[in-house]
Amino acid sequence: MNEAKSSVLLSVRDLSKHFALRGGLFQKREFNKAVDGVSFDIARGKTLALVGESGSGKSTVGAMLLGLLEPTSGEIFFDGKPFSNFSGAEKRALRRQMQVVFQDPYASLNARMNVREALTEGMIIHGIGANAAERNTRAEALLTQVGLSPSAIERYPHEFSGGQRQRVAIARALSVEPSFIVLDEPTSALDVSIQSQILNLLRQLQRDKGLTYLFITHNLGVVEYLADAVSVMQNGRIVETGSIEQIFDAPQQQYTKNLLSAIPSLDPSKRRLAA
Amino acid sequence: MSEPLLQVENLRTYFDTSRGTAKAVDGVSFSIARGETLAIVGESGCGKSMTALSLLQLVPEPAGYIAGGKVLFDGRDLLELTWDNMRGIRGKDIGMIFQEPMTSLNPVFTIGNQLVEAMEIHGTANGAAARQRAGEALERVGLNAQLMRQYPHELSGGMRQRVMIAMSLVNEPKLLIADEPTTALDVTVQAQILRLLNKLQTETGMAILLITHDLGIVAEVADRAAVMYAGQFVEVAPVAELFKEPRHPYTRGLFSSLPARNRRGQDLATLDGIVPDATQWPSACRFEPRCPFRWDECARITPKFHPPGTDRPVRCHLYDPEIPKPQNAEKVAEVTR
Repeated sequence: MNEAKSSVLLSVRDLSKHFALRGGLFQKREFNKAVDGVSFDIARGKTLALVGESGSGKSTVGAMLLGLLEPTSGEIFFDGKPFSNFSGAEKRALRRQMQVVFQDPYASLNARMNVREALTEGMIIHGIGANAAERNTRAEALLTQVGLSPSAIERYPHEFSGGQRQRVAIARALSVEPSFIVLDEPTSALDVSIQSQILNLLRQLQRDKGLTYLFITHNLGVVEYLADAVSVMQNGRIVETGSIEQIFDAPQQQYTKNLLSAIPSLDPSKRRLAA
Repeated sequence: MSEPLLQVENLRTYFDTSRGTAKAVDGVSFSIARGETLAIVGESGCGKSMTALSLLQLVPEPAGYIAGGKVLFDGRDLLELTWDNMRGIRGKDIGMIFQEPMTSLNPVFTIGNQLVEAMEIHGTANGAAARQRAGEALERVGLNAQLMRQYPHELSGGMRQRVMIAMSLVNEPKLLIADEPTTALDVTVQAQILRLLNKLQTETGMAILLITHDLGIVAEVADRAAVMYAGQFVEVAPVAELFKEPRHPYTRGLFSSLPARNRRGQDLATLDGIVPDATQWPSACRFEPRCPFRWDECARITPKFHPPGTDRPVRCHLYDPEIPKPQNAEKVAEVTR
């Protein structure tokens, strides 16, 4: 019998990624500690925002979770089990559970694949759908779920606007029925009126499917709106983790305070950046 | 009130495309007073950057051209100037900074050489005097004068943008055009750059035309803002009033689509539909197909700015008493108060 499922879906313990810069045989090696001892938990069905400035290491963390980069040290636990204990077949099954949506859908979608191919490729790899007709039906249903017309299935990425392309990228992530999605700056390239559509969609999908998100972003307005918890990264380390209220109303670390005070105020009578 | 520094009248910038004439800027009028900051805010493709480029006669040719209008700067119509005369204004009386400083700096010359060149080309300073001023300009934007010997690739994005600001200021321009000056920068660096622009404006009294998509930046630095949609301004207002009470349905849509903590758990407002193609703007109100308040007149009669001659006109029939209102007039009354 299964034990009761823990509320935590994904855990990271002391995760590091160091890139060798110079040195070697006779010289002391020097490393860029892109990620340096990072730990966090993400509760099932919730959203953790990983915020920080360029080069803070937030996207490197995402890449390690997705298996795109091998950690230098540390452990990632999915559903309580450590990655390092998984066999090859189990790792493949895990890839299906963990999907990603990147900032620039134009770069992340293959320009030579139409939407059908993009949406069914993952299904074929993971053995979803008995035959092409069934996969096609699933792909059309996915398009409807992300707010596109099923007739878009024949079209190529360049035929869509930025917001529509991001919907296609989301549909592709959903095509293998994941439980966890890394959202790496998914709205940073979009206009605000399109950003709001994508945020609404992400929220609705989370609600309907119980998805768990790691939301990597530098946009603190989006974090306040969407995330359940926040980890603030600086120079490869998490300097502070807490709820929206803890981080935005009572930040403990100086770096968090600096970051918050740099956000432009939307109230012209409360200018922060006046000379 | 004294004469404005810049007065733009009915500016039109068109592009010939395979699908027809794209009216990227289509009848834009505004003025900027000395020492004032006007922000033009809008989404991708609304024509805000093309407006800025048109003022400087930098519209990409041959597809693009200025189809008409006036750009009166300090008493002269810039659109009447020859290319050579215009070169005498660009970088001297009108400074400019763009989003990506790396593409504006020459990678094979030192920072010092580029700053000195900016002065020598306009004859505002030469030789040792120019080098002296270049060093001072760097210090003024918070950089070390020693940076003169370095190359652009040796600097961070924020430092490069400071160099661009220093370069645009060495000739003491009366107007600075800043097109998305902080969009490529981290938020803490952005805050430094915006503070710097505020400080320099106070010191020099220059006017700033700020082009941005970010309402937060508008709130922080602008005195007045113009909201642009589909090649036209739809609303102009002092910033405090715009943020207190956005009036045009498009402006309202923009504000209510912003994610914020007090909207947690609710859907954000969205604008239905997409921006129409610039070769096929709707013939009457350009926002009509997407507007939640639209009624019959909106697709038939082109809205005028109302009230005319004031500091916060809106291009929308909701605010024009001469346009018959729809059946559900209570809703309109509630909206327009």
